[in-house]
Amino acid sequence: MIFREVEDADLIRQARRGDIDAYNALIARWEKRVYNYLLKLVGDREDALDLAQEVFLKAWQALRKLDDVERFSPWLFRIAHNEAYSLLRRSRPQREVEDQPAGEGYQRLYPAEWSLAVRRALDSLTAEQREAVVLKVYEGFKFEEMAAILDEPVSTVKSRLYTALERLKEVLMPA
Amino acid sequence: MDQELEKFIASEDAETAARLAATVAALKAIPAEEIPRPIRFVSDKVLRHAWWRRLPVWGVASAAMLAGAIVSHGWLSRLPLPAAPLLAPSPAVVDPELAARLEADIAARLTAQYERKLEAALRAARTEYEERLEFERRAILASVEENFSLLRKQLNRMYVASAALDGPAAEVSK
Repeated sequence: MIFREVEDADLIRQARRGDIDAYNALIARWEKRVYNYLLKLVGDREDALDLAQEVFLKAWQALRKLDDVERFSPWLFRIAHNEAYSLLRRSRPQREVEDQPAGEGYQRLYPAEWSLAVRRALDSLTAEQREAVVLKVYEGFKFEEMAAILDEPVSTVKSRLYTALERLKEVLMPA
Repeated sequence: MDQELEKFIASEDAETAARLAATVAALKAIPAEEIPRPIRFVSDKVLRHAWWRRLPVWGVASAAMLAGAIVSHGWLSRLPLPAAPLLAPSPAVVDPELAARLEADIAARLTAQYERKLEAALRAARTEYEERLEFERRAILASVEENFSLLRKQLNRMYVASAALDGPAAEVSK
């Protein structure tokens, strides 16, 4: 008998036929990454968790619209991006106050001083630059996939990331 | 490290590249958090896809088409065939004797026409066959004549050579 690891594509196909157990298995594989991505975008655990649930619910409802099952991750993160920005737009005034570089919120998430410094450096970026850093550095997406997630040209994504890294370098590793 | 990122860092000068690499390392040092509560869905009517969305679309479509084709074929084959031979006379209108004579006449004309066409075709085929035979016969004859001519030339050459060899010998023996 030949054993092989069940791939995401298999789980997606089963989930498309209404198999909720298969979809739960798929969620178990991706929830941590989606949650952390959302957490870095919105900066609040509860919001990130709520958004992650919403993302997986929307993904379930739209699973049959996914053209290429091999491109599940950019598709899922595109939904997450939309959800995060929808929340950020709704609560912009409040968040603009919270997102000050000296904000205390992140201290609760990462108590270590170094982590706090990194977080503050990330906070000093624009939301778009921060998201580019998160997608590339933390999630390891290719530029082409990032472009699909952000719905921007690859050149824009690259420029955004490079500018962000230059800025972070000046803050974290000054000459 | 990510290859695309590595490429970007490598494109900078050594000092900047080192600082960028350290920046990326610092960013990656922040650990990913565990999700506070795992997300799981339960089998619920709200979550269940409609029954038709759970069916394998192409399989169902092809099965439906096949079933439709079988049913329609069965239904159509039950219908009576149109019984209307072209020459069938209506008994109420045409006299039977006249109809019989008409049919016999048409059959005779058709047979004669068919025979004429057959005869013409046979004649054409026979002519063509004879022409081909004649052509082949001439080709064979020409080939034989050519070979015969060649043999004769070789024989003559042998006679000449033989005469050249015999001449001086004959004179010595005399």
